[in-house]
Amino acid sequence: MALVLAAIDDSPALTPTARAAGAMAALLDAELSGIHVTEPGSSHAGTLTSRAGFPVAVVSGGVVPRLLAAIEAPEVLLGVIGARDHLGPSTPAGHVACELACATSTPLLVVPPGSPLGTHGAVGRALLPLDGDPHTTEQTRGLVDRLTDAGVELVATHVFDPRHLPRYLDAPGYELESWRHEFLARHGRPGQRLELRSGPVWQAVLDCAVAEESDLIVLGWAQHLAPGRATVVREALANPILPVLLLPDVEVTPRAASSQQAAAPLPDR
Amino acid sequence: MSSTALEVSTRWLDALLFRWPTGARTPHAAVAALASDLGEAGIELRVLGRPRQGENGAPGVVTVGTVAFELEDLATRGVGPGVVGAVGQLPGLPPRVVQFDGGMASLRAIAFEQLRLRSQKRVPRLDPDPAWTLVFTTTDPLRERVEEALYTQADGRFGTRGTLEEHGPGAQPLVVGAGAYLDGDGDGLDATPTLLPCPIWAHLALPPQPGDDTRRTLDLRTGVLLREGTDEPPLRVLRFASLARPGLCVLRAEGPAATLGAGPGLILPQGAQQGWVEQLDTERSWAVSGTVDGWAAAMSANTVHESGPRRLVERRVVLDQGRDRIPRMSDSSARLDALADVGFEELLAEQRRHWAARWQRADVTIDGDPGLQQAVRFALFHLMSSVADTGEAAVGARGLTGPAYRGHVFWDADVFVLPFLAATHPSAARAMLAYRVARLPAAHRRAAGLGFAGARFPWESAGDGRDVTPESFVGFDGEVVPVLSGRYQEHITADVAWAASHYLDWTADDAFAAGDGRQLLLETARYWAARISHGAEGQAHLCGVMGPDEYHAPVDDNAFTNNMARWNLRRAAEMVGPGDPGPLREEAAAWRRIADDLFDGYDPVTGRHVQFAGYDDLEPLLIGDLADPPVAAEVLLGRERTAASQVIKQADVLMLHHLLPRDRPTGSLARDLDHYLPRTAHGSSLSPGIHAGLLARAGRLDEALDLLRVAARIDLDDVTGSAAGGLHLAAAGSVWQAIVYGFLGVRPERDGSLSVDPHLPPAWRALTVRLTFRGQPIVLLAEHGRLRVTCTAPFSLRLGARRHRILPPTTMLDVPVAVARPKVR
Repeated sequence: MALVLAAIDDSPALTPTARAAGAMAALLDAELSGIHVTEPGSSHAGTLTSRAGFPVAVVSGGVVPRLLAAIEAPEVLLGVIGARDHLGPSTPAGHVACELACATSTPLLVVPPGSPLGTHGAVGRALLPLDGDPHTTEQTRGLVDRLTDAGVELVATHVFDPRHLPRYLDAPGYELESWRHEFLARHGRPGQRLELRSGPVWQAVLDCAVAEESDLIVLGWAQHLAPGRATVVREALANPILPVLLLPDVEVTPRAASSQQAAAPLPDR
Repeated sequence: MSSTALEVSTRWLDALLFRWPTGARTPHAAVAALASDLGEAGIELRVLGRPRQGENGAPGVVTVGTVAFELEDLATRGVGPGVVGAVGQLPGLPPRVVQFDGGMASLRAIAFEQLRLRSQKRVPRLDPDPAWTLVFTTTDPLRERVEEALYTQADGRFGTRGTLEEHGPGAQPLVVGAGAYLDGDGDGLDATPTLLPCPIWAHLALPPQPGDDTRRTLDLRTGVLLREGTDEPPLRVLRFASLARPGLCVLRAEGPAATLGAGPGLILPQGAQQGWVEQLDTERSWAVSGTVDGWAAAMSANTVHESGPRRLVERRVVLDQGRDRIPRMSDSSARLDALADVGFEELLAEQRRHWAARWQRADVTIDGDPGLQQAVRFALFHLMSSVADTGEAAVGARGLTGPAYRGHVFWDADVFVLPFLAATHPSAARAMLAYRVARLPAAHRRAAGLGFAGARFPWESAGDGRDVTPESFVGFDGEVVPVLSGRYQEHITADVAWAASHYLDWTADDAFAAGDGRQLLLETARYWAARISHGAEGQAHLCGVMGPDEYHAPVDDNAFTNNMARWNLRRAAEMVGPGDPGPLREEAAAWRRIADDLFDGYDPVTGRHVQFAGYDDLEPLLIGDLADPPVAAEVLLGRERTAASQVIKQADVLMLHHLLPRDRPTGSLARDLDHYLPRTAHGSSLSPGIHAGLLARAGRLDEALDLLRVAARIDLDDVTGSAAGGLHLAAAGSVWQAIVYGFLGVRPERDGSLSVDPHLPPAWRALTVRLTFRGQPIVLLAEHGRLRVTCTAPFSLRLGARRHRILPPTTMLDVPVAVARPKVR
């Protein structure tokens, strides 16, 4: 049986993380359990289990290595972790979430403490930014298909940023209609909606997610958070509201040659 | 290198050259009989070498040619060297000809094998000449729809996308007919008519084929698409849309009997609102799709044969459409019946001949640039495929290659596509003009509705000539963006008039000049005369328009629109003569006065045109400071800032230099190029080709060549990301115009002469262009320093300032070598 594994700690992130994990487990038809890493004797599994609403294993040791070991177990379909341990405006995600995200080969949902998903515990719509690179599309396909099958509306978005602009828009209406149709044929799913945006990618993605009233953002990424890279992921993780489902770059078929023009890979994602 | 007949026994050949053996007693009657048998199977036998006395004149045997002559003659029938076999010692054979040792016995063996292949109904091979073929050896599912568009086969009436026959993952099969539309239903773009999809005819029952197992070859020379697999026996499918018999499609397939099947033969198009498929008997099926607005129908005849491990499927399909009635089944049945005695080889041979005849009048040969050569032929192929040469030709922005732009007819047709056809296949250009002429009543109504006399043509046109430009579309950020073109791009009216006049310049079609053409010119002039207003200062103006630069609208006194309107008025006035009624003569005089009064935007101080009133006051942005063009500047800057800047989408003032080069002040091309090119984003696929031609005329050859390559690869490289929706026909037309009007400097003159002013890039050894000027075929071969003109009747040619009398068959002229200007970065 597939498992959704939530990293639980005794902070304001506990409840939203647990609720988000519960929502995802229900969607993915997976079992749900939690893990808490701590110093021996400092917390009680029973307390955390009670607060989370599902079994929480308490283990001791280095937080990131132990979480990583647990989340890498073959039965784990999805990891869930709080973005940070405090409420507030946009601030970078905590180091545990970031280190785990960079290291794990398992999809990871990062939940900010203020997430509505952590309150109402249901996912109706998710935003799926796609850069037009077949590699990214493949990277996101498996879990996204499962979410779609589970009834989540995956709204695709593509952002024309200043470095990747369309070359020609002869008659913009027809050209964009044709471009949208082909983009979805390459990267989307039947019946999927595509929202086109322009401007800085991270800002456009966040704006679109809010405008679309998305419950979470799905991002495929290369797991590099070094300065100058993964701007979209870093900014997404810093947002105070929306959970971010990070799909790591593993087990993807080799890159195809036909990225749709004006939608070339974004090297800093 | 020679081969024995045995070594290449299964090689498909469409012609054989036979060296008459010297010194041996060859039974002439046997050769004649062999020639007859081969001829019936569509194989040409050409015998070379002088026969002995008394043996000449046997039926079916040609005995006089040289190798070069025979190959050239075969090429005029669409038979390239790669499908020619040569038996015996023949000097000067090009490497692609298959050479065989031996004499009569070898010829017999080869002929027998070729006849056997035909009797088995095997799928022919193509001449793999890279200058004439596009070959794709792998199938990338993400590019599948792009390749479908690239491989489209059309006969001017119907187009069939090159979808793989099994309709694999990502397939978007589509068959469309020209000029048939379904009414819109919805908002925005959906409110406008769309091309009527026809039944799909090329589907075969096949399991999904491995992507890397498929090789597709589009033979531009013959309009044939061949698909080959690598199984044993391999799947091979050849198909074509018959140029000789528009509306007829032919397919032959061979493959493993275990997996290849004919399938239902016809299937309904995706999204068909109404339709049905009937199996009429064991061979024929009938399909209808459409709505009350229009109907499309197809009848298919399948035959299936087994040959050892192979199954062979042959299919013939006739397509038909009706505006407000369902096409009659009996008509399609009769068309198929009429083909009962016409063999596949014969249909294929006539397909080759018809395409060869088209290329004989239209080919462009660039010696020294094989990549560009192939891309240029690709462009010309689709231009020729997309336009019918009888009746009316409604040429949509994507031709018959896809659903994008919904088949709507823009100025792309009149200004970008038509010139190529006027100069190479005038009957097709005439059919395009017939489409406009038939919609003059709608253009009258549009003008009248706006309170003007004359005819105003719509920016977007479909079936009935109403303006079908959408009111709005959904842009970025979900924004509903109003479409201003329908309201403001009035220059389309002068563009239609220009197309009519340009056709006349190439053809001197007296009947058109006296009839429909005159009507087009007069009615459009009437519109401008009513539309133009006089200011208090006495000067005439056109206010509230949009030029080709769609980043700025509405504007006043757009130089392009004003000068096109002025030209329209004057050209129409020229059509009015002393024999016309007095009121018309007075009207023509008024047109001349209005034209003289109209502000033309030229500033004699700067020596350049001002694009529109106030343009020079806009934010002085240069595109090179923002991005590398081509680029859609409105996405980069936003619509509002773009509109407030000097960045322009495409040639506007410079389009004037392209369409009306004789009317422009001396020296203004160079100054306008210097000023506007750095401000041009080329955000339209129509732009690079036009600029390439202008730069060539200005001697800026490196830049011209760079932009020509950009224009020529727009669809091949899917630069727009939207070629899957159809090919950019106007860009294809701009490629031809860049080469012919730009690099070769050709222009048909109103005085009956042809101007030529070659500007060859140093990398090109020669440029050969085939044209039809005033009814006679002409070949212009330009090399550095000289021009060779081949014609069939005398005519007048202007080369620079000098006028030459060109005499048939060939005249050589010296050409001053232009000094190229260095590239400006």
